[in-house]
Amino acid sequence: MDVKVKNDPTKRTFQQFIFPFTLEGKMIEKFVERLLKDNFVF
Amino acid sequence: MNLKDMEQQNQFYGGHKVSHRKLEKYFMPYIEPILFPGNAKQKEGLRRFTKKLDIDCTFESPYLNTPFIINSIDIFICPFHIGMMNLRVTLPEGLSHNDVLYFGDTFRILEPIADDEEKTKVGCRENQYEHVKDFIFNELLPPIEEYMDEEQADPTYFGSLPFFIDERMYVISYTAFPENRDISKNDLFRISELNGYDNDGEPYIGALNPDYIEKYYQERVYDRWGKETYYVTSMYHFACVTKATGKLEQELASEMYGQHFYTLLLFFYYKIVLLKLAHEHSQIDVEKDQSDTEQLIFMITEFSAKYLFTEVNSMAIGKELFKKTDEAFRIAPLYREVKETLSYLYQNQDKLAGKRSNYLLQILTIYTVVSGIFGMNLYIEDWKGNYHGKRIWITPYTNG
Repeated sequence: MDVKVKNDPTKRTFQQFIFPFTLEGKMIEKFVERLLKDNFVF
Repeated sequence: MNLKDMEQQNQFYGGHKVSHRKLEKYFMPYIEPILFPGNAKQKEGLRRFTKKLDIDCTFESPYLNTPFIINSIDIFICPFHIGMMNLRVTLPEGLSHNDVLYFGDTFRILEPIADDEEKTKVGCRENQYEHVKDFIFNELLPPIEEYMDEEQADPTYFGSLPFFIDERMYVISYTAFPENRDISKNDLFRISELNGYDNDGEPYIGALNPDYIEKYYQERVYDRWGKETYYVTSMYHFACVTKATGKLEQELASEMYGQHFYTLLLFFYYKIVLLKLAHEHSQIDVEKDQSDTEQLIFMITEFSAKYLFTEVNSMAIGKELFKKTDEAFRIAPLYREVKETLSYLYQNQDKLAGKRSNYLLQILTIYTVVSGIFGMNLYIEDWKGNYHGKRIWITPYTNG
């Protein structure tokens, strides 16, 4: 199927990328502390 | 994120504003504490930690070289030992639609699998990375290996979920087209499937049969505002494409960072937890791992009671729109599977409890019989001589 559309500009685009992971139960609150220390805000 | 902190409304979204008031109203009251816990210590909710970045980066690949901006990064700490990372990226204005799709399709690959996926480079603060995973973990996040669940980890990528699709990120995108651009069903199919360029660098579409594309459109596209704005959902991508202008366009963009992002995230979380529960069931030896079985029963019960709700949005538009997401993520069939697991685990526990009762009964019966025999008044003739005609009375003592 022909989809060769060139010069087809978008006006504005943003994307978000999500990925999941598993955390070690005992380390979760330490991870929270680490994030806050690294300028992540709640 | 703290909904009470109004300063956060326009801090992380590349010039867009997310209304906290609208976020509050958009969800059912029982969903709010899950999505927006009041403080960083409320472990029952999806705790969001965000870092504002606004850094300029470059993306080099065989068919696209472009600058882009990383606006901010989120880490969500969620119940059931799940973490989620979310990265906000703004692409330059005027980038072609094919380039946008190609960027999304390529950047989502954390670890290249195919040969042609290995030709991508991401540049940031004078550093160059060949893998997106290295870029994220070296440039954007603090060292987090020590906090990951080692048992679940895949050798190639720590923190990997063995039950999750592959090492590709889920994409949420917003694209505003010029007013004169028609949005066709083919466009929506390509957007949904992130069909950018093929191996020869030509724009492509991943289906040839118009009937198939029509069916796909019916199942995956929400076209309430058709010809102007569409929403599409697939296993890899949730997208809003629009030709709207002015304040409406601004509003649609904000919703993709706000209400729609959070609804999608919640469904994504549901899917991950349901897959995790199904996976853990497959790993358990129900006869031997009694405490693991009990733990799994507890987890399934808690997840069903406290987290999994079919009615998430308080507004009709949200309900209609995310019905498609619910179907694309197969939440209902996955939940049915997990419920069957729960009933199977209960049945097994009953059987095991029954077996234990039977064993106990057998042991007690033996004791009863033996003690009954010895409990009778016995006169042993053979001992007569040794004890000079005295009768020996034996009454056994049993403890149990």
